[in-house]
Amino acid sequence: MAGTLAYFDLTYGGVLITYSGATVVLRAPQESQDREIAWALELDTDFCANTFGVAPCTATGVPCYNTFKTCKDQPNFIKTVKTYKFCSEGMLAPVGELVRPYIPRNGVATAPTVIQPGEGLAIRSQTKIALKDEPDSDYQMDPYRDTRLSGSTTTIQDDFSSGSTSGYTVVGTGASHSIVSGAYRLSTSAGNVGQSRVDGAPTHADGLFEIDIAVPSVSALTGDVGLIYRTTYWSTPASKSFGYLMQLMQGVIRLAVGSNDASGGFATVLSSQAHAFSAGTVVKIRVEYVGSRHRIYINGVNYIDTTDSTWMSGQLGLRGFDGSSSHNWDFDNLFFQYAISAQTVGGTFWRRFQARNLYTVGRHARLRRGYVVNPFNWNDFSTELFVIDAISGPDRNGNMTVVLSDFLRLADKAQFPTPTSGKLSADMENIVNAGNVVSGTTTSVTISDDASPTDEAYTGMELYIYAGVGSGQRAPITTYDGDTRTVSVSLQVAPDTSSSYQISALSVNVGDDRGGQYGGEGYIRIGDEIIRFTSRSGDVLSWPNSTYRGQFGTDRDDHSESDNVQLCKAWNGDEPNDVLVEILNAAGISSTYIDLAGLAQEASDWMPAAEITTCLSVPEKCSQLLKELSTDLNLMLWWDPAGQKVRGKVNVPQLAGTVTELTDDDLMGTEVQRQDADRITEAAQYYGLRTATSNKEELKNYDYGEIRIDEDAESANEYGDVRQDVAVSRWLSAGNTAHVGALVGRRVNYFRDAPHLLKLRADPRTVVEPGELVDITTRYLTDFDGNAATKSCRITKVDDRLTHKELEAVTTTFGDHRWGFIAPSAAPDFDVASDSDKVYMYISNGTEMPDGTDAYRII
Amino acid sequence: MKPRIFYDNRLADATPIASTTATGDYYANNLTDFRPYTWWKPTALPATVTVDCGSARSADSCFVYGHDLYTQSATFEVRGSTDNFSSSNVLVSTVTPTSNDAFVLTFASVSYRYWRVRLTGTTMPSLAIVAIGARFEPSGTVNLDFDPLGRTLLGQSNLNDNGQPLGKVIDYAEWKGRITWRRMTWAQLRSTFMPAYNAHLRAKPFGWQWHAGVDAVPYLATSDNDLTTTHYSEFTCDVSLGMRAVMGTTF
Repeated sequence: MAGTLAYFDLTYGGVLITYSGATVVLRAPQESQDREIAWALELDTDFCANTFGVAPCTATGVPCYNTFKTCKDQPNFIKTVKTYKFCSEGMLAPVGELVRPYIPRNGVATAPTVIQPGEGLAIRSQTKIALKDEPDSDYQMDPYRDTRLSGSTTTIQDDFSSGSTSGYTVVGTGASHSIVSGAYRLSTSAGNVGQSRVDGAPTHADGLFEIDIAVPSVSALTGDVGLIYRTTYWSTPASKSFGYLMQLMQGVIRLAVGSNDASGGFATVLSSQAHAFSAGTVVKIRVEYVGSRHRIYINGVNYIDTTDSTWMSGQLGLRGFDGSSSHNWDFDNLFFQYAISAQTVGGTFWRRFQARNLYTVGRHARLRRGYVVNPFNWNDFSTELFVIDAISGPDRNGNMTVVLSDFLRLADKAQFPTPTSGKLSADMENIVNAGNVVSGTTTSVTISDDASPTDEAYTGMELYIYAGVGSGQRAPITTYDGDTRTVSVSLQVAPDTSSSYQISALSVNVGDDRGGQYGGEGYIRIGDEIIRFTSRSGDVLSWPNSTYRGQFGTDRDDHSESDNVQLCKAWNGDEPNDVLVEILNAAGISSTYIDLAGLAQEASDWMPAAEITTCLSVPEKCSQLLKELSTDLNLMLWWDPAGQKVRGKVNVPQLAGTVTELTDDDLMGTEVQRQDADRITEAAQYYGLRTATSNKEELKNYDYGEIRIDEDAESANEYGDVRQDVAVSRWLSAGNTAHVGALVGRRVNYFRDAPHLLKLRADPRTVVEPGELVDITTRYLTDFDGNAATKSCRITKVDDRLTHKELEAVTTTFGDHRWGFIAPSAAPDFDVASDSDKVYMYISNGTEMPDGTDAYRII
Repeated sequence: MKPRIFYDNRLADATPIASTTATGDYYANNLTDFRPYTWWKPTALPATVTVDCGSARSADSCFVYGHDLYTQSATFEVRGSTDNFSSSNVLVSTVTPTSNDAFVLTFASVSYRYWRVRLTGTTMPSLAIVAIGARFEPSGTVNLDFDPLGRTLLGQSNLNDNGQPLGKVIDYAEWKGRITWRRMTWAQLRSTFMPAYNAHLRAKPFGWQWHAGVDAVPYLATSDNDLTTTHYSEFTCDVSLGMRAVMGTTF
């Protein structure tokens, strides 16, 4: 008895598959009996790649926090990812890695995904993570922390448009000031220093100073122009009578520290950098001095960054000096912010995070769960990917809550097709004009007298000869003469008076500036009619001829001005996995996060006869669409956070050799519930929706139907009742007869006996994945003799609490018969076959195999 | 040897300036915040972190918690200067750690306006807490029932359906202790302990070493809510302070 043909479902000639989920690796600490557990959370936030005020960022003034909410130059915001990491309290962070221990013990509440065989889309997961808060230095979040003035600050701005020099005090022999062409001018005499104090700024410690300086001619730069700060000496100035001086000189920018008195001689240069100034241009100078740190920028580029603490407070002003001649120095657009007191940072980590990062919803987050060993290794953690659903708080204890959702929750929010706002700009009659041809040639046709007298009234529309000579011809009208009722067309056969015609529109205008929502081609719904358009010009959607109207079984109709024009989504004989992927993409789940290969394999193995032809004509939730379609495909669809993919699996058996076995030795608690409400004896499937705009819930709107009845189950000796499962599908059209036949057969086989729901607790070392088939042997489910029976179960839920795992599984029967797969060639005879060989089907000539076990059956 | 508390930090007297700092979440200020999860890392060795205290400030110890100096084969130095290390550059204390455990350096109290941490070696280490500060080491004796290593494991044990053990799962181990210094003089209490308590021990983490000879590795501890100072008639008192710390396995 050689291993030969036999298989689960002859309809499809399906082949063996193996579980296509993520590779499961049991980590060493997980196997250990002494496990120190920890959670970690990584939140991805948007963060600008620019440096404030440095090209391409054109912002000025007080720096932002490199987040979009705080950005002062949003058109140039360059989005990158900044990740904040948190871990369980008590977990010591790996050396050198900033991981905040904010997650309290028992602070992670998980509601994992729940797979529902027969229901299609899984219940989406949600995880809530409590996070503590604390005062924080702000270095991680604020890229300008070192130079930011915080606490009590005062800002002075002056563009000198008032025309007044009030608020500035000039000192220096022969020095004066004025407003010229809207700019502040400091005039100095030959060989004398001139200084102008900004009176509005009292003695202060730290400051941020920006100003535009007109670069004088090269010859004039034999002196210097610049800014002075932390200056306490404001009498007649000498060469060193300042605290600090930022100098622009010929080919050089430098920072010097002075004596703050009337001393002459040379100041001490702290830093000097070459820079070629162009005469006649204006440079924006920015000086930041906080504590002992001094930074100077020219047009957003940092030239000097040094430390000195000789002077820690004083006032500031402008300065000019020319050793050989008098000179005018022009300044404009002064911005100054200063802090009287030392730098402080208010708030706490989360208060600041919330204020600066408004747009966190939908960004990615990774939840890591694992085991701490020495040396620390992130490889001892599993990483699960989610999207951020909300960050809320604080609660009364000051804790925050981060809510994470699986990617499929995006499908709960997105709609497909996208809602569109176009409306008809004018009435659109089904038939604009009809009648008999008065006379005609192949290029010119005179139509009925009741046609429009207005020239060009029908230009761009279609002339359709539907009866008589030339019947069946369609041609666009290139011109129309209202006086003679003559249209210009291009026909193959000239019509005559026996010919009947119709004129119909070949385009719609969807309203000003609304055409862009419709793309270049597709389908639209107006009223209950679906129209296919093949081109768009601005707000006008066009089609080649009137056969493009009344698509997907709908009727051509009259439509009125302001009727909605909704973009549709249509498929014509597409592969079901492609359709699923397209809906997932529309939900915002990129193909990176979809198990494309797995879905394609499932489609190839288990639904080769399925094809999708349908048109979605109103926006609907993507999750509802996915649930419908996956149910019609007998597919279970769920988010695998560890594999970071949306996965799909048809609810059919898998190769026994890959099945994990669980026994009471592995389980810490077992509860069994019989799901009698799920049991059915008959399954009916209606399909082939007549029109795309019909009510999909009404059975009368379907052309086809298949039904399977398990008469044994309905017999008096078995359940003795009738339980019908009636379903409709708008996705499956006429070409799906074979698929639907298998679908209802599998549904009855699976649900003819009430499945058992097993709620299990397992040690962390137990590794099973959602969707996996496992063999569970427990004394809570026994055979006729009362011995623990082995049941094939589908894992529907895995809640890894780290301390243990909460599992749910449902028993699977697939018809309560012995089934097998097609055996590979050279498989051994049954007599000598091993248990693993017997997952393949053997042909018996009786009701039993030679060893007395049940024969295999084709189901 | 007597138990000791390490607190205060000269590096926090003003903004510390690092010779170099690696990109990423590394900042010299992180050394001063007594948080074991914020780090500084240089990009070149020798590396320094220097602070100008504004005026001469004293220190008698250095508490270092969270580092990989041993793994990176680096040497750690504490230096002082009166002129920002122009001509005055005094090596106060140094160590080449033989493990990545926390450690303390103690030295005779000395005052400098400029303090500096200097690292030498070839590969870049990371450091979490460096506190060049004060140590409190009272003259009195410690209570006899002090429990230096007892701990509470927070977690659960797993048994299978057949009653067999499947292992233990631990969230973390917490040490809680109460130390009582007997017969501390009121002078020491008022002049040393209470200022330290009010300024630091009450609300900030600190270094704790219960016996430098028996167990040299200091903990990073926080104080419990209650402090008692039971009075005796001879101008002395018993000062009792509850403390707690996490007993990690990764450092």
